[in-house]
Amino acid sequence: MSNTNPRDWRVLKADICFGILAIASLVMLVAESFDDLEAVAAPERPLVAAGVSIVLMLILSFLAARFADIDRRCSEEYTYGLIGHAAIIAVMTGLLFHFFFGQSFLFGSVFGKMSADSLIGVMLGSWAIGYFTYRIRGTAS
Amino acid sequence: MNNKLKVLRAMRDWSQAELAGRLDVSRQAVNAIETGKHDPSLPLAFRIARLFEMPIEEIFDDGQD
Repeated sequence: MSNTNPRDWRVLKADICFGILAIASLVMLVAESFDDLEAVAAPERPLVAAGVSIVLMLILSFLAARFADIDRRCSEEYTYGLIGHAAIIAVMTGLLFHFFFGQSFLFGSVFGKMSADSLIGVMLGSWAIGYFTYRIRGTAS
Repeated sequence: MNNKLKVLRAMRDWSQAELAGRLDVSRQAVNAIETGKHDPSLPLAFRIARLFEMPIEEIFDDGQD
C-alpha cells in the first residue's frame, strides 16, 4: 500500500464507506421492521413548530451547502461526481418509497406506514447502491 | 464522449498511475476517463490538454461535428 497514490486511496475509502453504508442500511431496515411504529405527537403550537421547521431547514440547508462546497474542493471530481450522482438516486428512491408506503391502496395497507428510521435506512441503502452502480457503469452521459 | 487519452498515454509509455500522478487525480479517474465512463470537468480537461500540449478538441471528441 506504500506506493498507492493518496487520490487512489480516497476512491477506495469511498468504496469501503459505501459498502459499510449498504450493510448499515440493511440492518436498519430489518431492525425497524420489528419495531412498533413510532407515535408522533402533534405539537402544542403547530404554527410555531412549522416556523421553527422552516427556519431550521433553511439554516441546515445553507450549512450543508457550505460543507458540500468544502467537500467538493477537498475531494477529487471523479469521487465527488460518483457521490453526487448517487445522492440523487437516494433522494428519488426515498421519495418513491415514502409515496408507495404512504398510500393505503399500495403497500400502505399491507405493510403499514414507514417509520422515519426506515426511510433513512432506505435512503442510505439506495445511496450506496447508486454509488456502486455509477462506479461500475460510470457517470458519463 | 470519445477521447485519445489512452493512445496519448501509451505514446509516452506512462502507466495509468503515472498519468494520474501528473494530473493530480486518482488512477480510477484516469481509467474511467479512458474507458468513457467519466467526462472530465473543464479544469481537468485543460490540465490534460496542457500536459499533452494539445488543444482540448484534439484530445476529446463530443461527436457533434
